[in-house]
Amino acid sequence: MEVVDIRRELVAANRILGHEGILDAFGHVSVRHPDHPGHFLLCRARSPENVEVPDVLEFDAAGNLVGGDGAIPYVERFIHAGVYEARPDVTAVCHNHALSILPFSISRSVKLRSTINRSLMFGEGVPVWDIADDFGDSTDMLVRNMTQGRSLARKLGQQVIILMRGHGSVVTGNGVRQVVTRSLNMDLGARAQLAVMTLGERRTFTEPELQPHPELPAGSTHDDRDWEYFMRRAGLNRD
Amino acid sequence: MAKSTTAVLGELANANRILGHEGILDAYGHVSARNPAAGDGAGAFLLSRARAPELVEEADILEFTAEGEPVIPSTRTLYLERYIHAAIYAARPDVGAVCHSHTPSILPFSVSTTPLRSVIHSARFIGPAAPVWDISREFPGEWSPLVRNYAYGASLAAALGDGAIALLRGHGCVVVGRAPQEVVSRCTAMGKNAQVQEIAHRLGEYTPLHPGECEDTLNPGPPLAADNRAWEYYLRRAGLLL
Repeated sequence: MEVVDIRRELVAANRILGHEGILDAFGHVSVRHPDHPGHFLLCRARSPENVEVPDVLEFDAAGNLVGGDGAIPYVERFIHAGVYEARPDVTAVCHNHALSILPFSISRSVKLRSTINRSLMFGEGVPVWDIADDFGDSTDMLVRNMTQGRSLARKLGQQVIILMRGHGSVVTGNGVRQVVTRSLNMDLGARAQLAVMTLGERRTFTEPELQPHPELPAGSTHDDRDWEYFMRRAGLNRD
Repeated sequence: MAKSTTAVLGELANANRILGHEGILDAYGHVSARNPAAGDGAGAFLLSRARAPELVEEADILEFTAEGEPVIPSTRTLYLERYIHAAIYAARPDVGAVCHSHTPSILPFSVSTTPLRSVIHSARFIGPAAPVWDISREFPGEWSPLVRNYAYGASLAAALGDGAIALLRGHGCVVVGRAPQEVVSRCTAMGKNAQVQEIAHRLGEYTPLHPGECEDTLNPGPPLAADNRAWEYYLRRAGLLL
């Protein structure tokens, strides 16, 4: 995909997830740079639902701004830098503070885990990265440098998603469309799990069902169908 | 550079409308701002006439004295609880804006002995336990929950202390900040924090923010660019920015 199209897709992804309430005033989606290995694209520090194509900035592998004409970047760009460095298979990342997953980020009693088909990526329990483990209990909880970004990426390991204690989550994917679909599924899955816990006894998935499905290729029909639908809902493809 | 009274009037009307739009305020509740021109006959703070916050316009906003009375006698109906604002501005020179709300998500914590506390990073300002001001304990025999005179306001301000938030038992809360933008950010984060804490509590044991992770509300550092990011977001959602 051409870099200009990637920028447009990145803006749309931010606006869609803002419109759907996965992101609010804060949070951000990034994408690997198609031409500069190790680099990635992320918007200037602006609420995701408000970003526009000129807001898209380029960062190097260490999270440093490349060019940008004095634009102010997100403090937490090191989340993205850390994940891209550790995971060559990941080409898009969403950092969010979605309300539905936050209780699971602080709960010591219940793990966020697979409940419905669309949340199978949660597996037996989504790991929680606690910034206090590596950086003490007096930080402002933001991922402010590469050391912290790397610590988070280590905890992510080969998972699709990781929770950050008292903060939010990081969702990874191959392509912007997949990360949008997964972020929406994350929210559905968390809400379903809470509701199921309230309702009492549950029907359980069988072992084969609980195994992660074989990975669909990037740009699979599911992601594209989602994309058209959510683009329309966010008012982004009326032409 | 200090802002002009005119600039603060616009921000204050917007703060009321935003918090109404976001459901932090409903038909009731109000946001005020310290008057940057206070002194020399100018009012200590700015607050709307009694009107639902989502409907507030600049023309509704009046100047009030440090005691909570209108600078220019008005025939317009005033909020009974304007003394909340008067007493807090008197007690807290660091405070530039005050919100009194009845936000549904925090109301259970105003009644429960489980304290509202910081569980998410955006609500670092709440601290390890938001104080609860109980009017019936402070003023035995009082039948109304309303902060309807200056003495009640001063008692509430004492409960707030150096903090950014105090709950009013069975009634609501007050949230303070340096500017309307900070109060908007704090109020929305407060609502989210209360929802997360309530759900996590139902799930069992949970880890709140450590004391060192909570914000030193008296020494919060420079105004946050994040408040301005959120301000643009909320203005647009409320239809106040094209």
